[in-house]
Amino acid sequence: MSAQKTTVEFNDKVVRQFLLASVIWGAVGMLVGVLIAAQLNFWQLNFNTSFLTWSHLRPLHTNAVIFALVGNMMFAGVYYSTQRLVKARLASDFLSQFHFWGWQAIIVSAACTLPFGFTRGQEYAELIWPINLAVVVMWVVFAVNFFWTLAKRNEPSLYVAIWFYIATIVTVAMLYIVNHLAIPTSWTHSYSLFGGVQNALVQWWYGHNAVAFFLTTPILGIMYYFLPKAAGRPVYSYKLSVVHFWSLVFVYIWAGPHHLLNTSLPGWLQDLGMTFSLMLWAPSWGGMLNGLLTLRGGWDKLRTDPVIKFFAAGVTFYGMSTFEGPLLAIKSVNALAHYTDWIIAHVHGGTLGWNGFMAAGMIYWLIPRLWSKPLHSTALANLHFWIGLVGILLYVGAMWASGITQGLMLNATSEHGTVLTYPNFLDTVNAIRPLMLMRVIGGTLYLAGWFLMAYNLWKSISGAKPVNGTIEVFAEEPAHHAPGSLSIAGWVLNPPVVFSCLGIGFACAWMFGGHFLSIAGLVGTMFCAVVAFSHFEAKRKSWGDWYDRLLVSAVPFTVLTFLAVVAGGLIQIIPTVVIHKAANVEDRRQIPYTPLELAGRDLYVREGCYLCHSQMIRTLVPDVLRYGDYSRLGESIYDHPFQWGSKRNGPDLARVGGKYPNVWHLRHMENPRSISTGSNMPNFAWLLSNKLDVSTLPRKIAVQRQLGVPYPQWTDAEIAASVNDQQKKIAKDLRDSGAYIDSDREIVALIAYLQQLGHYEKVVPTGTAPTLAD
Amino acid sequence: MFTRIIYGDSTAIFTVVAFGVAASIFITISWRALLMKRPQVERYENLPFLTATPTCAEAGLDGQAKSEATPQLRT
Repeated sequence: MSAQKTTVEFNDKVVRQFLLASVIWGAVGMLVGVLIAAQLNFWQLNFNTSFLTWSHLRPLHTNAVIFALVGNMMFAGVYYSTQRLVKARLASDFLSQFHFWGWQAIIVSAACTLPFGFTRGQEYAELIWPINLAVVVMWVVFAVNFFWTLAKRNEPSLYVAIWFYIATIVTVAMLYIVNHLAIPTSWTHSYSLFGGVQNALVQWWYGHNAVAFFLTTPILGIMYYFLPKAAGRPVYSYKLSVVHFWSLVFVYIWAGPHHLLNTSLPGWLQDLGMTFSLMLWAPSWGGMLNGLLTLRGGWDKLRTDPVIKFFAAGVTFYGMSTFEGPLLAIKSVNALAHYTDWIIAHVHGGTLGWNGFMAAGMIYWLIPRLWSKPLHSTALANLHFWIGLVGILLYVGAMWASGITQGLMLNATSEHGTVLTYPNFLDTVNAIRPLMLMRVIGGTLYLAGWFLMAYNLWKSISGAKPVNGTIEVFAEEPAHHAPGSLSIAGWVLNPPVVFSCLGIGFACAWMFGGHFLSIAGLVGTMFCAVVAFSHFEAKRKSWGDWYDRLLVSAVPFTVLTFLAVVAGGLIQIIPTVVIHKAANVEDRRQIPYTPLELAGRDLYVREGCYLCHSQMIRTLVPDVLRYGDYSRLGESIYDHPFQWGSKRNGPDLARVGGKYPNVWHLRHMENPRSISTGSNMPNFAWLLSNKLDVSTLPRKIAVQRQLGVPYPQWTDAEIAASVNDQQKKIAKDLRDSGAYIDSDREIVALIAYLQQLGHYEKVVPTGTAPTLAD
Repeated sequence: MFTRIIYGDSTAIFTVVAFGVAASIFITISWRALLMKRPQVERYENLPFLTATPTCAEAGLDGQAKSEATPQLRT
């Protein structure tokens, strides 16, 4: 069959759409970020409204910058580079447009729900279940469009950027679906399928790898394409990029438990998270050096070319963040840094420096290639760079100083470690106020730089015509059927895959099996290793050929990548799925909430209290001195979702129950400064006027029962009676203390919940979980 | 068994085994990468340059036609 020369016109319309959306939503997300940073200094900026309150806006900020800014930027970069790397137009114009508009609809839905308290109560996973479903559908649309394009490609080889995109697509799908498994109680509310420690582990498996596979791997793919293009020279070492990819993909997925160090998470999981976090140093720095050294011989461009400036600084920030991450994952460093602003510094070094600057570099590079006019002003782009850089340095520097100050003050003890030096939490808040103000200034500068880019973009494309790239290809036969690619049977029935599967099977039998199975597994593993080595020695070429053929075979490559990421997740999660059972918990066990307490807990989640208050007293002396006995694993096993938290803008609440009278909580929620002078907590006065909605409680309790919480088979009337009784008791106590409040107000339910925190029962030796009816 | 997973010291073997597996994969991939032949490496690293991405000026769309900069190939 003779080759036919045809011209392929790329679908750059969708690239332009995602690019513009990224700039617009980025501005919105960062504007909200500056506002909430200012609210921590000036509580009045909460304006006494629920929807502008810090804890309602913070999820909006994080979701906007992750899914709207980086998400849109990622889709633009992936679609632009993939079409050119595989020499094919995107497979479907309809799917491309559906992807774009569907994604924007999700962002708008998030903006319309999060400020009003519709949340799942888990960080970066706050969106309610109908939006979760929409995200899954859009991600599938993206995946289909991407893999369909690969199937139609005119270039047989898969460049390393495509590898990173494949890893992103399969891993994010897995993480998002597993972490968002839930049972709905209404159209806007659901309970996570996982509870307590299990929920904590799955959440941070997702949370950590959202950073890894949403904020890092796609941007690395973009780096491997756009940085060589901007520098005009190939990547420094392609071999290093291969090592970078496989080691990063395999190692990253295991590191999630480092978000739970010194907590009641089982010790071996903490060790696992710390070990793999430290191992991440190697691939991360390999990739960072590969990016920077791509500029070898072209450093002079740094003086004049804003694109190179942004890329060089972005990759440098990647190096800084990926050095800092493993450092913070060392248990002793984490004891100081966790729950403090140091983590905020780390996160923003990555997002503002790595994601934001890589986005800016890519956007400036794309503007004159997607429209018929050159960039309006290089000087403005350079100004954007310097303003943004100073902004990041101010922000990150302030938060480093603030975090270390917080950590040192909160952990400081005297009298041979028996007395806290700063027993009042507010001492630390007031000590870091100047640093929090510096953060606002840094964030504002960065935002100003972003607005400069938006203005530059607008001026550049005003009056310009959209331009779609083209390429002439010799279409002989589909590249994925080219000689050398693997057939379906070929990628399964080959020595590396067969021996790996056998080895894993035997190893699982060895580790998880009973007595006989364990011995058989051990023998089988050893036998498998010896046979595999012998086969490798005898038929070395067939092993090598298989790998080379894998690199031009998209489907087997994707499956292998999926197996690499799924292994880490399964080994961590499967054992903890079963330990959630109350019968396996020693020492202490949580007492299920009464209906009113459960309603109060849902308010706690709605108001986003977990964003400032942890419920996890770590196994550290200063934590125990400050908050009470360290938290046990069994004390939160019925919490769907868990509320261990990740940041302490205020004190831990794990044992706040019974510490203060009911009226203290009422006055504190109405106006925190009337109780705690100098507090920066917003007023939650609407809780005193809002009437509690109890109509959904029967359904919620039924779902809790489905999830394994030992509630008795209450009728609706019994639930209503229980709520009524407890409401009246609390309202009477409040009246006796001089606070007159109707018993059916939301604040009463919240007080009921807060007063229950820290209560537990001793585990009975029989291992059976009692119910409330007992 | 599951209580043992929470509290037993023996579960520390998970970390050791996981480290061993990750290290062996790292070594294997590094070895494979080092064995890549020069023509193969050149083929892959130049993939981004096989499709021209001219700016509007280079494409002559703003009346200032220029040619696409030739990428620097390693020899």
